[in-house]
Amino acid sequence: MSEKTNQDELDARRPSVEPEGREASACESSALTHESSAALFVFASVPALEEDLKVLLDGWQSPRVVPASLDARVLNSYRELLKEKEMNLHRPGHTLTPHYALPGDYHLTILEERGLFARLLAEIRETADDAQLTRAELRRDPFGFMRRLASAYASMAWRTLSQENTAYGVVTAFAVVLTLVGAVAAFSKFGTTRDGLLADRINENLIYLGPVTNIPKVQPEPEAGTAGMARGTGGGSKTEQERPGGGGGGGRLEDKPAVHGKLPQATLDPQVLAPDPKPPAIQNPSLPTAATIRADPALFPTDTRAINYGDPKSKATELSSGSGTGGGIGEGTGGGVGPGNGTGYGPGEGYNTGGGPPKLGGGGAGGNGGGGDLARPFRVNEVTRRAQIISKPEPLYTEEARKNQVTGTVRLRLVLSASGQVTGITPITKLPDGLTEKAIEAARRISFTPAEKDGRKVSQYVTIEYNFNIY
Amino acid sequence: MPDTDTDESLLGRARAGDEQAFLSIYMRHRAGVYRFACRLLGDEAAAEDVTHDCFLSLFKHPERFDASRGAALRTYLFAAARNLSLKRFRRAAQETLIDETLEERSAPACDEPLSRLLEAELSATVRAAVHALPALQREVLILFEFENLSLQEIALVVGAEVNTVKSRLGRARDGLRRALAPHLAARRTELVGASEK
Repeated sequence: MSEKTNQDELDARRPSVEPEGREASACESSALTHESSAALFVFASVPALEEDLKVLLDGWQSPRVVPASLDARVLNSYRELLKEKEMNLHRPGHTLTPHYALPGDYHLTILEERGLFARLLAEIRETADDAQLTRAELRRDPFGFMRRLASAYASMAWRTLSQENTAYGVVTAFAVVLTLVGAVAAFSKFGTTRDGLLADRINENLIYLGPVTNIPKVQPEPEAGTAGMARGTGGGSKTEQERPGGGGGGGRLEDKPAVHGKLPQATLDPQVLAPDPKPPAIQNPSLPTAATIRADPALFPTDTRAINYGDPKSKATELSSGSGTGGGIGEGTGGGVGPGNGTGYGPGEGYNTGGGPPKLGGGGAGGNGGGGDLARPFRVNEVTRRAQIISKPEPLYTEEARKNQVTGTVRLRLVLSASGQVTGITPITKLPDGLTEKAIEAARRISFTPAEKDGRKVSQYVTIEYNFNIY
Repeated sequence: MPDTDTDESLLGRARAGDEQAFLSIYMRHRAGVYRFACRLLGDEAAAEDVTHDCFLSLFKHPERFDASRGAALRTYLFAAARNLSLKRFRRAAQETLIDETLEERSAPACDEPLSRLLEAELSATVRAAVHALPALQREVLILFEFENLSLQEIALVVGAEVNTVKSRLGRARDGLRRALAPHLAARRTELVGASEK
């Protein structure tokens, strides 16, 4: 023990005079507030407070002597330990037997509620405690500290691994993980090799020119729109995206506007015969020739309806080729149909359709014009042929409405379905006293011919009005 | 067995299987270790377990006590008792509560019933005051005041610096003075009265 520590020892054991004196004075003053100065003289002979404290502490009766049962227990455990270590005992024949675990024994297991990490931390902390791994020890003997640390944790790891089945479990876990990693690596290597072989086979006749760097993030989408119509936003038969152009027109200098009708077959071959709403009746023609327009057939599906040729956008019903010139139908010139100039259809010139100078379009379905979902209801301007209402029964007037003199209009939006039924009736403008219901009832009894689109029957929206007037 | 044998030589023989050597070591140190554990834990049964494990650790884990490190066997045994007691504290997740029903069965100083009662009461009060201290202060106080270990030895036992031990001891005494202030005052009053007479 060093000299300084000895001094500390003395300081610690010696009753401290000054602070204890102060505290003693405080205690004294509380106990002897009204004492005379003679009593203060007596105080000088009273021992210091530190001694008082010591006396009080001595009053803590020490625990009874070490129980004999403990002595016996320690001795037995010592003998058992020696036997376990297969040492020679000085006193053979003791009655205690070690608790060796026999194979097949039934073992009760206590499952701890603490989690894995909590238990691991507790184990590490206990190992540190047991090996005296404290900061003071580290300062005092760093090498010894490190040696004990390594030894303690190595023995902890060995204890853990040497438990029954633990090593098997760890080895199995490692084996499983390594197998999985190996399988993934092998599969990946095999896949790369196979892809490489395939790539080599494909590329054996190719020449590498350089990397492709200019890849647009968003591919251009075809614009929506009816193919080949005046908006010129449709598609065509070319493989790349391009707007079609061109148009056509015609007419036979008639006063009346061009009649509504179907377009003749579209073909990119030069036109032989211009369409005519009123084709001349030729008896026994020697060379039957069909009227055509020169346009991309991808934009104009064949119209099989048995109706006259005409301008599909026209509303005129009287057979007329229109005021244009050069044959054909419409207000333009040339043998086509429409207001343009040429043998195509619509505004524009030359042939084909879409407006402007003639050129072929391409790139996909040509907007909505080339097809689409024919099951949905179409608007009036989307169908090739509108639904034709055959009969429209009038609604009955209700007694209440008559009494209240209700007049006005009920407007309904409904679908004339492809199957010939009236569905989806939605009132837009209503009237009270049951008149709206009467109108809906009447609307259900409408009979009609369904609309057509590209030769197929489709459903079509219509808006109808019922006027209720009292005369 | 001569009692002059050193702890180290006895331990070496005990490890080799000499039961007498083991008994000598055990008898030499059992009382201090048991008393310390008992005071620290406040539970005699737990103190028995700690004392048992403490001595057995000398043989189960012989590497833990290394005489060449300069530590005495006594210090090692107190440190082991302290660590085992702290483990019990941790497992209980709280400080061991004072068992008020634990009977103090020490022999009274005299046969007078009143005197016996007063001593028992004082003993319980001091015990309660010591157990009310934080564990680190309590162990230092017990080792210093009751087991008469030096500051250096205590520093080895608790794994702290000597100065830390000193400050813990000072704080423990302060705490005890506060807890036992009424008893100290009463005692001084008695002493003053006796001096006046």
